[in-house]
Amino acid sequence: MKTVNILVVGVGGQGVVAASDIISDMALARGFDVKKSEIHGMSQRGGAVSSFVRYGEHIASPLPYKNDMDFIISFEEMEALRWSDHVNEGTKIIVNTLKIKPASLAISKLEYPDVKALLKGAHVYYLDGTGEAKKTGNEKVVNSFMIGAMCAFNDFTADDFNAALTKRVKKYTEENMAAFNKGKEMVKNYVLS
Amino acid sequence: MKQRTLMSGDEAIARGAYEAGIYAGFGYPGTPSTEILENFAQYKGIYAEWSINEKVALEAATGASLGGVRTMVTMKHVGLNVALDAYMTLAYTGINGGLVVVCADDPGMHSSQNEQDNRYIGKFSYTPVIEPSDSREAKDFIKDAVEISEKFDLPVLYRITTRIAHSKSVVEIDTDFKAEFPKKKLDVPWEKYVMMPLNAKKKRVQLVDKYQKMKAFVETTKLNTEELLSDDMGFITSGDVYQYVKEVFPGKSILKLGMLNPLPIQKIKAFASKVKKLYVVEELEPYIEDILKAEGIKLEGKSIFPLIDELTPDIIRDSFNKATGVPLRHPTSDVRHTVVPSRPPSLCADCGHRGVFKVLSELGLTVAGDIGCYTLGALPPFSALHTCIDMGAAINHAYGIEKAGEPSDKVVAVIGDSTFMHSGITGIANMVYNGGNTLTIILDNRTTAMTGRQPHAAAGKTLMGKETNNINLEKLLEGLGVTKVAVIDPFESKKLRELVVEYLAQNGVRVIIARRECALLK
Ligand SMILES: Cc1ncc(C[n+]2csc(CCOP(=O)(O)OP(=O)(O)O)c2C)c(N)n1
Repeated sequence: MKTVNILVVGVGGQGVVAASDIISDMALARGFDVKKSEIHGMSQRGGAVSSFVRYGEHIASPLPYKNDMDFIISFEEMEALRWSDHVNEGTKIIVNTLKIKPASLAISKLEYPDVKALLKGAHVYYLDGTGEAKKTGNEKVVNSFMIGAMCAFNDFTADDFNAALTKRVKKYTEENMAAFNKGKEMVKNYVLS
Repeated sequence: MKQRTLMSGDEAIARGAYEAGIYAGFGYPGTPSTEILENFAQYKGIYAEWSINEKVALEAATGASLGGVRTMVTMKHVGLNVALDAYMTLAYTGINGGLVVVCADDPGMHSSQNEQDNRYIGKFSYTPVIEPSDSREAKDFIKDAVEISEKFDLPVLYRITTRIAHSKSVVEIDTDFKAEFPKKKLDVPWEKYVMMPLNAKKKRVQLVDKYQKMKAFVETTKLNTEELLSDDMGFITSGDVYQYVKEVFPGKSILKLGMLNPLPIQKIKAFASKVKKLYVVEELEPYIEDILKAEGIKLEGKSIFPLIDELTPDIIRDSFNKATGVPLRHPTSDVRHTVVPSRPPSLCADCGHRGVFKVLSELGLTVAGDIGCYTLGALPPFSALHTCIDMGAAINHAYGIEKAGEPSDKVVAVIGDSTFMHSGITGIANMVYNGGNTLTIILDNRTTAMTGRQPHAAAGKTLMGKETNNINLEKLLEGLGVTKVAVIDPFESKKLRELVVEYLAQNGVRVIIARRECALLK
């Protein structure tokens, strides 16, 4: 089996690290070797956050090659673009269409980029995860939505997710499960543009 | 029951320490080492504390070791600079209960002010250096470290890097494990622990002698492992870099060093003779490379792999291919590369530090700064912090600027509450003693926010969650002989501005405590 490489990205406070922990636990429970790596430290203060997860039969490096990414899961629209050098022709990119404007725009005089125009192709999925999460009554479950979206492609089930989730989060299980299933469904029904 | 679980290197070290019978853990927060002690504190039957600073931590650990228990000290790489006075001579005296100093280097400076390579400190002090390459080893090697410490009667430097500390990998845990904490008798023979020249001279001889014995030991320790898979090329490496080398050069021979001081020279020479070409791949300085070259071993290292920044599989592969003339594989992607606006960390919207920097920026002062969240005051929109070199320096920087003849009403020092307790108090004492006139602002957010909100000596809680004596900053400053102390909420902008202007015009040592609880504590 080929090692699966996943990059989860977003903005500090969005739950990027928690999501990568849950993905890692799902893979571990399936008996895979798993490694994950991220840099925390500055993450609380609204900076860009990223986390790599790798699973397969045997994993050496916690960091994959840049051009070997199977999934990029971006919790924020522009953040997906920041990692475009990690995209290859097969990389599936799942983007939450939430836009969080960085404070640097005022100083750099840059515009918030037109991500949809720059990052497109057969494997890019733009989903309003935050909007869907809000519908469950809890905006925070957006990370379950994003994991669900990824799980449309690999064979982790809702049960796998539930087991990994409840190890870490005791509350809002129903909302999280609903968001997971919604994410999965929306990718399956996605009409690629 | 055996259980497979994912652990960060930090979590694994805490677990390893518990399993190795380490009873006492002392440390000071510092990314990426902080979670070690936070996790260790969760185990039953142990003692753990955030000490005032790294020097205090190591000295308290030394005392605990003399008292007969196994101890651990944790800190980030620069913390060892603070504790180095204690460490260098501890190598002379040796220990009673095993003592391991876990120290996290930060190649790439993800959250540090420098990229120093602490492997040299092992050499400098003649102490063993151990380095794990994943979480499983991070846990297991702690036991070896304790044993080596007791075997050679030396403190052991346990070196990790950010990628080890914060990466997670699979560790097998025995959930039924019950730790035992061996306790020897307090033992303080004065010839061993009183380092007056009379004794120190003998101890120096013994230390060099111990080093010879360590050299024999490293040739056979299982911490160093050889994987002989091919004879065309071989790699000598350690730590996280070992994992990258495995990834980039599958099927090639590797000598993985788990013990970095002293190096197993005979083992390395034997390995070198089994491969046609030898490479050393190491992060930061050519530490292994230089030692081996001095031994006359032929190899390539920093001529190929970069000196600066952390290594990654991409960097190792591309540098190697470039050096050996293999055309680079270029990633294929139809994504248009574009400038993505940066998203640097910034002060929280409701952070009290903002109030202070707003005023300092308006007044156009020179601001001697320090390390913490408030270092972000150097960035726009404030651009109101001009120095940040090492913890505790702000007050002394501002004071020295005054001594250079600069007007003291144009300079101010800012320092966080945790940093002030760590090493700021001495700066105030120095000014009181030598007659400084520099204004200091203590940014008191009641916590060590930068490293994840650890309590400290002026914030009323211990690492183990107990309520404790809360050092009163106002009284402390008065006791030191400070002329004037004022406490103000930094969000009272107008009042704060008036106060700063008023204090700047005066002489003597003045301190403003800008007190507002960290927004993340609520
Ligand atoms: C010698 C040393 N030890 C530890 C650190 C890690 N560190 C950076 S800032 C900081 C303390 C920050 O707390 P505080 O001064 O209260 O400021 P805040 O972040 O709360 O604003 C620490 C422990 C360091 N940089 N240097």
